[in-house]
Amino acid sequence: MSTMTAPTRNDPPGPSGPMLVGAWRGTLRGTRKRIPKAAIFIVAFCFFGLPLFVLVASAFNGSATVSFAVPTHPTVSNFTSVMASGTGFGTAVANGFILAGGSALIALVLGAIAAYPLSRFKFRGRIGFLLGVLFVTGVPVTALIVPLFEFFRGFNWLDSSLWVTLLMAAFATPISIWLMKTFVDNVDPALEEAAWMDGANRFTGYVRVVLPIMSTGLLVVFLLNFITGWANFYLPFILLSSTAKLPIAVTIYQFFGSYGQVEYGRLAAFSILYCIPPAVLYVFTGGRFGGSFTSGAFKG
Amino acid sequence: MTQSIATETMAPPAVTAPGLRQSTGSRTEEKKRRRQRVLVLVLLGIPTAYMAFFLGVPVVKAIYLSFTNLGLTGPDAAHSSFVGVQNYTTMFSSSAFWQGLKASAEYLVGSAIIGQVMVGFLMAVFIERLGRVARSVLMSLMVLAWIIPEIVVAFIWSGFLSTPKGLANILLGFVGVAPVSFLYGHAMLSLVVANAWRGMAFSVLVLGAALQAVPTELIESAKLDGAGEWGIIRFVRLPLIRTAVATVLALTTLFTLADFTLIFVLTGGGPNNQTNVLPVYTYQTSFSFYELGYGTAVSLVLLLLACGLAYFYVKVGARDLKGAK
Repeated sequence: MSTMTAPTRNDPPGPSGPMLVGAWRGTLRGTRKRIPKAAIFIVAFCFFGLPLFVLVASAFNGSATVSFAVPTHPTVSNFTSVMASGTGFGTAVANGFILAGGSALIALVLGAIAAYPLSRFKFRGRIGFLLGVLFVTGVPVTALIVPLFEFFRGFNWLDSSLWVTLLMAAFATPISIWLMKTFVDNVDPALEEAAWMDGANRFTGYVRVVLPIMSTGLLVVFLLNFITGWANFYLPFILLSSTAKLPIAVTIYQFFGSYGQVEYGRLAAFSILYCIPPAVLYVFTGGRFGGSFTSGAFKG
Repeated sequence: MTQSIATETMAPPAVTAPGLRQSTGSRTEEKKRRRQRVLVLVLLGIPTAYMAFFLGVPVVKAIYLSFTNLGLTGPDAAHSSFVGVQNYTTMFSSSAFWQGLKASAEYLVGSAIIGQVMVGFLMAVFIERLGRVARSVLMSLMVLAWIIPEIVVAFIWSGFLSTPKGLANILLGFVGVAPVSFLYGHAMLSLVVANAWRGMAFSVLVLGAALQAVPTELIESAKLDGAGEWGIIRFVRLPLIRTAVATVLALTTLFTLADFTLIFVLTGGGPNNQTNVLPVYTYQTSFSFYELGYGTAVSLVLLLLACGLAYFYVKVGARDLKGAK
């Protein structure tokens, strides 16, 4: 450093000065760009990948605990023991499907009913209604759980799968209305009008012509609601109590509470089995959910 | 919301030819209008009534319950009595309540605003610079973390962060750091990181899509004007994706404020109520301490905060709806 006299303010810049600095900065920028890019990628990859790796490695480790170890002899014994008969695994899965599927279906129908007038008629209060629905989308389950519990207790609906399903549908309805409206918007009204020419009324035109055209959209809304319902832990945890009625979301929590630390391998296997339906369904919809919240959802 | 509906008819069932319709006079037109108004009322009325029953009635009932000493078991469960504003005075003078509010604020700022929105934005910028393979690998991991049920996220992180031999501590051991008890010593930080891990994909997907939509001509002309990479991001692209940022901000803060499961499973609100965010505090008072009346009062505070955030979200939506008109 001391041998290369740094140019002070009084020094006239030598002719090679700017060029040298420029070249030096150029190479610096090049490496500065490449090395951090790789470094950031590795950090991000580890951050997102390693926790998932813990789950997979533990699931295939016959003697896994929360102390991490890579299985030396990978085995599926955790999976078989979780699914073994007498553990109630089948019942829990079936209950999960009933709650998630039932509520998703009801919300889909309610969404389809509201979407039609919102998309096809122009009336005063339409924007207001849409914004009201959007507002309800933001009302969280956790803020309503105590009043809901009291509401259910008053009607003697505690521990009733039917009423919990209907309640879950109510929470899924606002987002269904929003998404369905966008899908109906995208179907050309001329197609419906052509059906009217052939003697169809509004109802048959909607059901026979419009809905089939937007079947992909219907599927996306159903699956989005299904995945949300499948993951819903809090409502069934508070409102249901009989073991025979609990969905897998609650069963897996009880398993964690009783054996979480020592039987981490089985918990991991249980978790992976529990994750399969949403993962498969997500792939099935082609990853449309991220966009479904914004792109298009905010078009009048 | 649906009162005073004035329908501007969009082509009614075309049983008559367009020319004929005008000559049939205003009486048929009026009749059709009225039928359409009824149709709108019925079709919007069904889902509205459904939601009002399940979501609206409990809220109204909650306002009343918050003024009672309702219990979960015992005599107060069968015959609760009116206690005036007692629950509210207890709440506002309870250090546990203020601790809950503080924990919620920390979780919100750390996980939603810094973690998911700010880091999420940087991640979206970073990821579009990657090659196709690297990008899809990283994106797949993030999406996987996002779509697995929340309770599994809690199990994963309870294993990953466990002391002394969870994978995180093993890795720290390689660089000579003594085991850290993440979930006790750094409970809030652990939750913030775990929740950012889980929610990152959502912000990256939405913000990334918005960034893609910024016209390349604008970026090119900024480059010609001598803007550096960060200048372009800061002064050209970020202002243009304001709406997407506002949407992500509103949604992630709402989800984070209402989050229960991750905290309940990972720390249970502890240690010493450090992570006892309002949803967990509500649960604790109502279902562990059996004070439903008091728990309802806390719920209403949470509901009010959520409504404030939802209102912000709706305002963003309203601007967009008007923009599209």
